[in-house]
Amino acid sequence: MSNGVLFFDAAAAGYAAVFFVFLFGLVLKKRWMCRIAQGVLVVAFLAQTVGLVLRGLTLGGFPVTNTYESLVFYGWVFAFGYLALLPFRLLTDRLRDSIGLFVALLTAAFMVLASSPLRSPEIVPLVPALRSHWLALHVSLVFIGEGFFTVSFVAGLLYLVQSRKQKTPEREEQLERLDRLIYQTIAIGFPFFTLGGLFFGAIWAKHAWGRYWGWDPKETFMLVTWLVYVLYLHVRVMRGWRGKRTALIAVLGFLLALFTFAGVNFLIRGLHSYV
Amino acid sequence: MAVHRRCRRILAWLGSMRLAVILLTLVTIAAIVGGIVPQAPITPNADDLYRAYGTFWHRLITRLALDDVFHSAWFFALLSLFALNLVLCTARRARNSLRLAFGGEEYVGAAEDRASTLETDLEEPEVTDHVAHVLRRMGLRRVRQVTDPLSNRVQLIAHRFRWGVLGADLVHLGILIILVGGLLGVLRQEGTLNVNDWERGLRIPACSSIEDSDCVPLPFDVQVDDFGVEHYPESGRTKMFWAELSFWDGEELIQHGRTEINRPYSIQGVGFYPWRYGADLSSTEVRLHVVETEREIVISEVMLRVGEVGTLPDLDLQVTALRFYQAFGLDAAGKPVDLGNVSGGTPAVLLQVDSVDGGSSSYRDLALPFLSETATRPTYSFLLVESRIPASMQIHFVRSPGFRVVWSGFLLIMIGLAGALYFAPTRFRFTIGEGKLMFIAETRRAKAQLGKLVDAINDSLDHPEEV
Repeated sequence: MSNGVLFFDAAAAGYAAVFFVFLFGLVLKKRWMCRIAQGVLVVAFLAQTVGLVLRGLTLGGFPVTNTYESLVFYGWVFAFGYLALLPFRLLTDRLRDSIGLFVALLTAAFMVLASSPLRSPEIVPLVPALRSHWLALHVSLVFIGEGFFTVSFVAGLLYLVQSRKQKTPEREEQLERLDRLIYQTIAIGFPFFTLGGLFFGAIWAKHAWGRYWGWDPKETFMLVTWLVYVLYLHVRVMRGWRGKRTALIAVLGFLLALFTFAGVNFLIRGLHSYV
Repeated sequence: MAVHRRCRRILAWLGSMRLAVILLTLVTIAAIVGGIVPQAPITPNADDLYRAYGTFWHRLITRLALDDVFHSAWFFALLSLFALNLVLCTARRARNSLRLAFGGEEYVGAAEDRASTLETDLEEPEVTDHVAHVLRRMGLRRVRQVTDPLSNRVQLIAHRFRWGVLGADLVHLGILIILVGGLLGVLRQEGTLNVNDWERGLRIPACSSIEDSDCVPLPFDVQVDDFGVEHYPESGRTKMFWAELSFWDGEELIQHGRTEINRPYSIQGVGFYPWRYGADLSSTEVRLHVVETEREIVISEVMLRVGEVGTLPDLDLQVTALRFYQAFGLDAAGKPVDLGNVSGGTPAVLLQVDSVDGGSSSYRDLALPFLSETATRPTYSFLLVESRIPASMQIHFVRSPGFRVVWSGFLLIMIGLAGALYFAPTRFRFTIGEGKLMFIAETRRAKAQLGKLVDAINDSLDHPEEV
């Protein structure tokens, strides 16, 4: 059975191509190029999905058991978050393409990082602690939540860049749409993140270690990320904050999510250091 | 009166959104600090680490308890204030939330003061039909009509996802319940059972099983009948480890069960978790040949475990195995060290040899698989013939009354989040009469939809033939 690497390499090349086609399409203002980029993005995403399924079948479990697989899956959720929102027509074409550009860049970066010689794509049997059905539920839901947070992050960055430019009615409308998109993606992703990260994580911790919470660095930074998004929802919904301030919180939230995923593993040792 | 007013103001501030935002920010910062600064209870040599940062940081960390943030008094105070804020905020919101979720379908005259108004030439029943039609088109299926007996005015109340209004309150309640569950953690009891191959089937009394800590009383005796490890056939890597346990009340067997990693066994609220599987060097069994040094011939044999004393009555000697080395070596200072499980390493056992009658011929000797050449050699030397290192299993047991409380808190949070984010309530109230149509958006989502609704109603009133 395949370890999926061929599909992942093809997907990585696809995402890199998507980035450049989006870039040219946006710079040259050629909408047809952006449409092609979206098509290639879908193909790359499908290739990556097939690779993940094959690898999961070979492994006999959910393929997030080491750094290589985690990076590939993290890249997959970025593309998933973007593609899941495409049918809803929440944005103008140009904004959608701009977000696609950044999502393709992030996904390609993660796929390239996974393919680097530092990360072995070899399928390694699961260590005893990871042999649990909670692995799939815990990790997949957290990552799906973070997929939506990625879109909110990119929209937040675009908001911050656009808001520095001169105000025009068209730009005001764009900002309004971006602000709404940030809220909508966080509102979709947050319950997934809470359910997977905090609830299922706590249940699994109880099954594995006999306690639902232990202030392990990964748990702590998961909570920190959660609190930042709680803060976002409160100030936006209850206090009516809009614009730059909430965009900044959305950007900060995703950076913390990224740090929780990667930074904590490499910089701080804890119970989650399996990979 | 002034005191009363001041108290109300303080209570309002304690339950305010502003304080909630401040507290959320502070808890977040505290958690970041606790995540970055190595926490003393779980970090070996934490104090040495802080000293390495310099005197200023060392003082700051230890004085502000940044070395144990999550058990510090100030963090507890912060969480307590946060809990108080949640209680007051939820209490403040509760009246309106409950009214919107369970009632509020009566005529409210005062509401007309803050209403937006549309003028119309149409009569009341026609306007009612128009509004109801538009509302249903916008997905607000539940439309109720009430009439004020005094003014004879008609009011339409339309809503969707009315239970969603309780979402935020349920999330607050869930967080409070989790905090209570966390507090119940002080009643948590835990301990560790360490068993090795020689101790299979040994009954461990209810109160003597704890390593380096006070006894944790269990309502039964525990017996580890068997334990083991499974490996992946292809790679030989560890797949899982398990233990078979029996629980006894005096001479009566209560239960028998199996615990595996990620599959704890629970009995009477106590969960048993296989924690570690490894080798117990401190209980290694060794077989030694006693060699007459001069002639280099084996004259006797003794079998003993580390820490045990073996007697050789014919030779008037007793031998104690002090320590077993898997791979004997010397460090830079010339002190003996165990190099661990390395291939090609030489096993060794450090012995204390004494005369049975307490004579003066006591000495320490190192038994190796071969006779070592030393300048001064005692009458008898020891040869390490065989060693058996027993497997060991560490089983952790926990009793915590907070688990179920925390789960119910999480469940409430999830239901609340779904209500607040996916099923946000919409509720409008319309008063119709005297050629006017007055409407009020009673929820946040309704306020966001108000403009769209006004346009739709206006359009409908302008084209009465479409209804």
